[in-house]
Amino acid sequence: MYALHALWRSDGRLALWVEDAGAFRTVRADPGSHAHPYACPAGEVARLLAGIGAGLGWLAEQGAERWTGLRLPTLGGRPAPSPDLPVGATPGGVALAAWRVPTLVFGPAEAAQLLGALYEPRWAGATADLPGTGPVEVAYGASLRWLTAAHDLAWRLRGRGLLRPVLRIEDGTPYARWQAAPDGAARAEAAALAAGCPPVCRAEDLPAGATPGGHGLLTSVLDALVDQEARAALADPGAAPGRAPLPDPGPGAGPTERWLAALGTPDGRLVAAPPGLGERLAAWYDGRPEHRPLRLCLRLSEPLGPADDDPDGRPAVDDWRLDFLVQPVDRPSLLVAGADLWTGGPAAAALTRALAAGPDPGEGAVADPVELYRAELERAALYRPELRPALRSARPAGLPLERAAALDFLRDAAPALAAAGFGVLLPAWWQRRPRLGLLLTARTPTPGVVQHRGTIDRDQVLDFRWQLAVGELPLTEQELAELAAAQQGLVRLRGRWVEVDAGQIAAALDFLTHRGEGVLDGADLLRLALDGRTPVPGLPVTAVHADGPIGDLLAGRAATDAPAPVLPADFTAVLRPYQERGLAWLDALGRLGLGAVLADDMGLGKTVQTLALLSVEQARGATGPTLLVCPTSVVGNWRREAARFAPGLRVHVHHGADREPPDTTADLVVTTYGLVQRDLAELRRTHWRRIVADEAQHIKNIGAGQSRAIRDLRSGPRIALTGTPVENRLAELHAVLDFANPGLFGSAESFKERFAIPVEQSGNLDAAAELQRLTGPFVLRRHKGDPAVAAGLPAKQEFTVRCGLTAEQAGLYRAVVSDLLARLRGIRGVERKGAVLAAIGRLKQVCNHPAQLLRDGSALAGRSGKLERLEELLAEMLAEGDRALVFTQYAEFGTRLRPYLSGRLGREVLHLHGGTPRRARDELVTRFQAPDGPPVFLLSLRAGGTGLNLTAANQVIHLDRWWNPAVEDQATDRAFRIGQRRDVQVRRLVCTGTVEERIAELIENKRALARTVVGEGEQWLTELPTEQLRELLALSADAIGA
Amino acid sequence: MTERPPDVPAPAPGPAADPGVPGDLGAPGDRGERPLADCLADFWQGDFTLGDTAGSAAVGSSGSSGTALRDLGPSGITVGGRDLADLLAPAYRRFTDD
Repeated sequence: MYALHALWRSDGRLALWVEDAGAFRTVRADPGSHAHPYACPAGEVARLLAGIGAGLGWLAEQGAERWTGLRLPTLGGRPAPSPDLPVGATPGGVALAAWRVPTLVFGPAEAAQLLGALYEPRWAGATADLPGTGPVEVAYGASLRWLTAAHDLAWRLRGRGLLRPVLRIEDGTPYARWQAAPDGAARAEAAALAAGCPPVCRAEDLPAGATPGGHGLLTSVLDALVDQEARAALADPGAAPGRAPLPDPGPGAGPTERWLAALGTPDGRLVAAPPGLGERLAAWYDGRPEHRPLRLCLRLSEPLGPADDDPDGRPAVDDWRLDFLVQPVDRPSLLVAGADLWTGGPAAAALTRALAAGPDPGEGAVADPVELYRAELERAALYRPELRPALRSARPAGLPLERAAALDFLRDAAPALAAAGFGVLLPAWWQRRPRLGLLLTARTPTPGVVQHRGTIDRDQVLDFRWQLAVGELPLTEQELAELAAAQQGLVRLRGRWVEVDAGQIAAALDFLTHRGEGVLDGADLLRLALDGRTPVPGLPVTAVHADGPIGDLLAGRAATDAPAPVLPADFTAVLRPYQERGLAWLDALGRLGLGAVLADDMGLGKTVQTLALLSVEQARGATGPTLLVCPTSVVGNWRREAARFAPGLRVHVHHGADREPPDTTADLVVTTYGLVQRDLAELRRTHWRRIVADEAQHIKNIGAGQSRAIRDLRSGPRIALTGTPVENRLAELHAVLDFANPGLFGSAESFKERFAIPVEQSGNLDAAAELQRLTGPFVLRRHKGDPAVAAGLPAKQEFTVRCGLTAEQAGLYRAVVSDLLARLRGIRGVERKGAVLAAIGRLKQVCNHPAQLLRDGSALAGRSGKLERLEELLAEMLAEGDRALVFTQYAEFGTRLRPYLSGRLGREVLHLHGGTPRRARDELVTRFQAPDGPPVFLLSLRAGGTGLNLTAANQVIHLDRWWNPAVEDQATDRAFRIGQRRDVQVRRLVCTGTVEERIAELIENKRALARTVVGEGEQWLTELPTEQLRELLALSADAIGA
Repeated sequence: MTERPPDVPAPAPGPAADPGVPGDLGAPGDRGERPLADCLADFWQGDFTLGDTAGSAAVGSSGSSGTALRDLGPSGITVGGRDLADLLAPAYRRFTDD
């Protein structure tokens, strides 16, 4: 008489073993042996199986003879017999002891066949016909019968299609697997089967805590057997031809096609896991339940307190824990631990009440919190199979995790679960976890010698030392040794968890050993601090500490500590406090030999700060010319501003068709971007003391000819002036930074990889902060709304913006003036007045645009310096988030401007003029005043100059002049009035060297007189003698600037 | 051994059977979860039923109706331009045709 037992081993294989009743009577147990004395040798197990049936015999030959450790009831140093053997009952007093049992071991495929063949619902045994012995009785133990029942369930699940394909990673290898997907009845059957699991099925001798429960064991068995049964069905050669159940992957098949095909291969093994497939399958199976009253939250806790097994009481490192909690979806403040659902208590009671009070789950049922909790856990396990072990517990409350698993959870599982709608609570430090990096310390080499403050010798040699650091804290030798020994991804350093890579650490230690100390020059030090390159791939340079001026600069002290320089007496402007700070900053960087990017908002005085700097440097004795490069439209503006504020600077304008070679004896040479490219060879002959790039957004495209040309010039420290350092992409900032300090911020490609992609594509706040920290010393940007700036500004600032004429405009202008002067010779009185007024009107139209005078419907682009400047101003205003009113007295020209500006700016432009019906007029005003209304409103001075409330605008531009301050002020007051919450900037555009500029100067210089004589608009002009009129109207030589 | 004799029909699975907490494969009851040392009295015994389920794979609807695939609907996962659910349908027919 024999008893056949079975065990599903923790390695996923089936073990069969046999008790021999005869041995209990005849064999004496060896007290020193742990081998089961009454178990048959594995060969005998195979012989018995063959005796039961030929098919079983063949399968038995596929088994491997192995020892399996079992903990069995033991009495008196001998294993107690199972009740399946007729050897008498075992008295009380038994205890569990480990025994080595000879077993026949089978892989999942053979196991499925064996369990199917041994399934016997009617008899708990069989008769084996043994050669040479004859028939013997073989009782089937409960363990074998239970496993055959599990197989039967797996077989029926497959037969009803209650399974689904998944992607599994087993010991690091991806597999295509089939997994049970039981319906309600099958779940109940499985639950009953798990509850009735014979304890002997769980008797494998495993480490403490690893013994499975019935549910966990059944889950493992079904996982394996459902998968095997599915493969067996799919591989059935008897299937009808042409009905291949899974598509055959062609030679160019992708990973998902290969996964699909592997669902039908013998082992399901894959070369590579299809990226993202696990998550997409989970989302499919999850089905996004419509009614989900509870939400699962997963909370990861780090080890606290000393390790139990550490005699020195050092903190534990591997005792991480993942706890499961639930919260009502409509009351997330009620967070209840999963374990409390079974123990009851106030929290669980509150949860039950919250569910009862929540939305009706349907059919009047009150949801069971435990049921909902398990359903949530199952959903979570769909997304992250590593949570499946928790489902094997009767009362799942959480999972213990080792360090590596904790890191996997932090890095991968937490974001995936959060994206799937689960709550994830991570230790607070994870979001701001310290990074392991390299710290560079540089010192002046000679002890006792203090480097002179205020100068950087970029060629000076400095002693340096690299150290591994957490953030800015260098690590000790002992910590380095601990790191070197660590293989885990998370290491605790100074009480903080740090994510480390063993390969990186080894490379870093090698680097420190061989190249950790030495000498470098100042320029290299700056590059190391700023350009993002690191000597050890993967380990960033987290900090650079230096003494002297470079240290001050990198620490951001260069600007704040810099003393404000004394302005020379002949500098006529009075700087506002923030402009003095800007001057001090420009001066400090210049004295360090470094370039600067002054990026104040428009209207804050970048021009006057620059002129102040050049004046200060000149007063200090600086020699050599500064080259100022700007758009054509502002050449005249620079010349006049320099003459007005810094008369001590000798200015030469290198511009115009008949331009002379640049005067390198001048203090300031003003030229345009176009001419820098055209006259590059000539301009390269001079080593400029400085180069200033105004409106530096013109060089943001580093591939453009003018950008390359200006970078080719030879010079001392450079300055970039721009109100919009970044119009669209961060690459533009790099272009401007690289102009100011060539090479200091690395290549455009490395800058893109380091900052542009993380910030623009991922919204990475750390990268943005790093960018600000590194560039901060070199970029000064103040906004109109900054409290420190706004406090020093009047609520309404007014500017005269000078524009050049194009050659076409100048030709037309001259023709109008010549025609008038010729006509004046023969007319008088009213006719003369009419001719003068008409000519002045035509001149103003020419200043606006040739097409306005010609009325020929010709193209607008590229023919007017004023229009070009208007576009630049509006673009800058829009980039700063401002909204603008543009007034013109010419409604017809406005009608042409509206679509043109709209196309150039890429934004809607409104237009209101005298012909606008009242209702439409009201609608335009309402739309503009809306918070998200169009940003530009074009108005005719007559129709829009009075009565409207347009306080959404904080910028006003007068495109052409009425020469009546009262009328212009009235129009300006559409924006500058009660209800306006921001400061208002007003710009009047005038063309250099024309009647526009002369009358503007007249008004500015003699305001009292102007109020008297100009009060009547343009009528007074008609009274001027012809000679004065000629002086007023004639085009001066500097007019052409566009 | 408390295993039911073969001639006693198994109770119909479902709520009346009170299988414990519903779960992944049905929730475990406490009996199957006891520490082994507490199981010495019934160490070799189980509490389950082997019914004669030959042919019971056809219980319920035949064909692929009622399968996990049918309940899921389209996957939104395309393989070679076809939805995964369509590509899996022949496999489910094979499962249920056996």
